[in-house]
Amino acid sequence: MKMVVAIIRPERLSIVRHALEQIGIVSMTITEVRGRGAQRGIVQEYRGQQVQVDYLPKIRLEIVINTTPLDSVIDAIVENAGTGQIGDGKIFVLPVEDAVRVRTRERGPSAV
Amino acid sequence: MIHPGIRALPLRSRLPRRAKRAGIGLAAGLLTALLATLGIAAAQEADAVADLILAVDTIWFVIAGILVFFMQAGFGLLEAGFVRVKNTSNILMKNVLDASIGGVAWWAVGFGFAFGASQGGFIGGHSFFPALGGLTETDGVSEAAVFFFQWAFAATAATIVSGALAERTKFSAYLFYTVFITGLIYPVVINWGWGGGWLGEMGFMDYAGSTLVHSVGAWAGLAGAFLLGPRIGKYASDGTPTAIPGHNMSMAALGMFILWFGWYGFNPGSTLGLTGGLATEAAWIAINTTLSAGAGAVVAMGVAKFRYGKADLGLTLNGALAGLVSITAGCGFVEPWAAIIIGAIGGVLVVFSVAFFDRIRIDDPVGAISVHGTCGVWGTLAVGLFATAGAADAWGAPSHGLFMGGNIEALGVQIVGILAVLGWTLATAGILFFVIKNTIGLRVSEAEELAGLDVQEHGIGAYPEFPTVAPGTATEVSALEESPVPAPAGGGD
Repeated sequence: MKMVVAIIRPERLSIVRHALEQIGIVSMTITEVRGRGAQRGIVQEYRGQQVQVDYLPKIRLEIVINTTPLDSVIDAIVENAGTGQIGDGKIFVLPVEDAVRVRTRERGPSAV
Repeated sequence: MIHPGIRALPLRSRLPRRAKRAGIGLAAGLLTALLATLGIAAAQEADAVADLILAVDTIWFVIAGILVFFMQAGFGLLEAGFVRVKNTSNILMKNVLDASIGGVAWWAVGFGFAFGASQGGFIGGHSFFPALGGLTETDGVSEAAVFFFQWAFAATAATIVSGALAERTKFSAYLFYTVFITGLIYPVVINWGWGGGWLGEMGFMDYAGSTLVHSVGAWAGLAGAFLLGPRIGKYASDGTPTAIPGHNMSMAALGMFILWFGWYGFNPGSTLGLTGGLATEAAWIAINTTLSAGAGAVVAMGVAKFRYGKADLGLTLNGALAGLVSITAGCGFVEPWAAIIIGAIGGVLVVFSVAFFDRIRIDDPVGAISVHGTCGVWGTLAVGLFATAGAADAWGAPSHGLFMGGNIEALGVQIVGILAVLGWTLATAGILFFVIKNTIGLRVSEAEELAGLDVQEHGIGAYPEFPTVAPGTATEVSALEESPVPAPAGGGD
C-alpha cells in the first residue's frame, strides 16, 4: 500500500480526477491548501501598488493505492496537472502501514 | 408657521422660475377647464391646482430622498469590500450608525442650524426639535419633505468619513464624531450655501453639493486620518506605501453601482421639485450625471492602465464615483459635453490623488478623501469654468463660466466657497478629533488592530463560518512577531 500526495493547480483538479478514474482510481481526498515553492509567491497589483502574495492557492490530492501500478498513477497526474509553467506542483509517495474501513472494521490492503 | 429662513431654501435658481409659472401647463389647464365646466368656483380651482403642485413636488422630494438614503447601502458595501475580512462588521456598524444617529441629530439641531432662519448668514437659529405641524408648507414647498430629503444628504456627508478612518478607529470615538458632523459641522456649511447664508448670497454655485456635502465629509475624513495615522502594515519599514487589498471586490463594485443609482436622487432631486418647468431640468441633470460618471470610470481605468500596467477595478470604481462627485456641483449648470470633460478630469485627478495621499502618509483605505475632496473641489471649480449663462443668471451668480464667455468673478466666488468650507471643516473636525484623541482615545490598541476590530468591538466577525486567515503581508508578520497577540476567542486566525 502506498499513499500518493499530489499538490496541484486548483484548475487542473477535474481533469486529473477524470484521468485517475480512467485507470480505476475513484477514491480520493482533496484539501484546499496554500503554499509556495522556490519562487516564493507572486506579485499582484491593487490600486496602483504591488501586492506580494506569499502563498498561492493549491489543491492537495491524497490517494492510497494497493493494486494499481504506482507509475500509472504518477503518469496520470503529471500528464494532466502539468502546464509546463512554474507552479505546477509536486507529488510525494509515502508507504502506508495499515488501512481500516470504518464501516466494517476490515483491515489491511483490502480495506483500501 | 412660516420660518423666514426656510423661504430661502428653494434653491435660488428656482425662485425666478416659480414666478414664471403663469400658464401652469397642459395638465393643470385641462383640470381648470374641467373644473370650470363643472361650475366650481374659481377659488376652489386655484386651490386644487396649488394642492396638486404641492403634491407633485413633495413626491419628488420624497422619492429623491429615498434614493439618496439608499446611497448608505452603497457606501456600506463599497467600504466593506475595500477593507479586510477582520474589519467588515466594524465598517458596516459605522455605516448603520451614521444614518441612525444622524437622523436623531438632524431632527434635534441639525435641520435648525442648516435651514432655520439664518443668523447673520452664518448659522440657522430656528426649527429645532420640530413637532408635528411645526414644519408647514411655505412657498409651495413642504418643509417636512425638505427635512427628510436634506437628512439623507446629511447622512451622506457623515458616512463618507468612515471609509477614510477604516480599520483602526475606536468605535466609541466614531459614534461621538458622527453626532457632531450631522448636528453641527455639516449644518453650518449647508446654512452658508443653501440655507440663506453668506455664501449663497454671494452667488456660490453648488447645485447638489460637491463642496457643501461631499467635501465636508472628505475634509473631516482628512482631519481624522491625519490624527489617527496609517494602519499597521500600510508603510514598509523604509516608508514606501504598500497595498492592503480589500476583501471583496464584488461588494465594492455593487456598492459603486448603488451609489451611482442613488445619485439619480442626489442630483436630479436637487431641482427641489418637478413643476414649473423643472421636470425637464431634472431629466437633463440625470443625463449630465450619467455622462460624467461614465467618463470618470473610463478615464480612471485608462490612467491606471497607463500608469500601473493594469486595468485596476478598485481605481475604476473610484473613477466612476469621482465623475459623480465632480458633476454634483455643476449638474444643473453645464452642457452635456462639459459634463463629460468634468467627469474625465475627475477620473484623472482621483488616480493621482490616491497616490498623493498615500505618499504623504494619509492612509485612506477606500480613497474617500480623493473621491469626495479632490473631486469635490474640482467639480466646484468646474462650475466657474463651464456654467452656462442662462443657468448662472437664474441662480443669481455673479457671472457664468469663464470658458463660456463669462468673467473670472464666478470662479473667484467658487474658490471662496471651497476655501471657506475647507477651513471650517478642517478646523472644527480637527478640534473634535483632537479632543477625542486626548479623552476617550481615537485609535484602537495595536493588538486589537492586528486581531481585527470585529471581534474586539462587536463580538464576532462578519463571516463566522468561513476561515478568515488571509495571506498576511510581510510587514504584518513582522509587526506580529514584535508584539505577539493572543488569538482572539472565536477569531478564526
